[in-house]
Amino acid sequence: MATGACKREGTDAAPYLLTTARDGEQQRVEVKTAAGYHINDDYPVSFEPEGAARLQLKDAVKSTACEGDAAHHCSAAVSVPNAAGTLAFSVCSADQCLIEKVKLAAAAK
Amino acid sequence: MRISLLTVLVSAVAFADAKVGAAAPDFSLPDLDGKTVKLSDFKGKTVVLEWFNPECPFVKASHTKGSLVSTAKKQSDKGIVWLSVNSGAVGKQGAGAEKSREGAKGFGMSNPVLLDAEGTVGKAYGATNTPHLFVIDKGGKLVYRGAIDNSPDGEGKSPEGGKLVNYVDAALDELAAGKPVSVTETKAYGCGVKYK
Repeated sequence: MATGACKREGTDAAPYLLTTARDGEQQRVEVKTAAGYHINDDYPVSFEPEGAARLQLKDAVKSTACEGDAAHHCSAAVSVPNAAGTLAFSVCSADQCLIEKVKLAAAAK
Repeated sequence: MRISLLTVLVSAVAFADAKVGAAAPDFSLPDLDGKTVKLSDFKGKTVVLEWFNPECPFVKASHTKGSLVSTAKKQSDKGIVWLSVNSGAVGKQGAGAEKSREGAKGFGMSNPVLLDAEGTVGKAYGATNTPHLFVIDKGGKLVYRGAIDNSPDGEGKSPEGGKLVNYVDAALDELAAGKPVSVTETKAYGCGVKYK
């Protein structure tokens, strides 16, 4: 399993933790938001493999409600092809929304 | 009891939404040079209101890659009045004259940007997102409210249904052709408006 935390501009805090794990011919990506942030459910999550067309994944995302805040989701998981590419998603806090484009590498067996 | 009733009434006004088909609420707001701009100044013209936050990534995406890249300029050249409104409260993301001016310059915008730091106009229209678009016809009636397009990534690369539709362009084209607007309301996407 690979783990990555991305920093917010101007801060040392990570607004989410992103993990990937090989799952057969795919890799499963999970994003867990940091305190105060939630998954932006309106954003069209997508994965664009290098050199290939963008895949729309919004309907394939499995989200889990935030603890103590059923109106928002604080984690989301989706399976993408096991290839290098860019995952696009969005997280928000009360003060700001972020559009994240994270480069993923193909997971080793 | 009187206090409770008053509270209810004030709340109702504060969160009143401008309804499609009804008269658009009039307003008076300062532009970035402090000049007062009134909606009623544009009586007889078609007006577009665009809720704006220059630091919102959806606004940035739409103004640099998506449907807002040239829409305002193109429509202004056709005689449409395009007004951007920043309802961000003092201290909030993207709020104020300086950030609005920087953003407008960076995005190549030439239309007026109005400041609504108290959020009065934003709440009167029910603006929830940036960007959030409202089209007002020549008779002063609200004829469209919602998203700029059907691609909620802001970049125009993820259109629902596979084909990108610029709802505001479509509404303005229909008005110009003397037709009623066919899509009058859509769900706005983007950042929440950073109200006081």
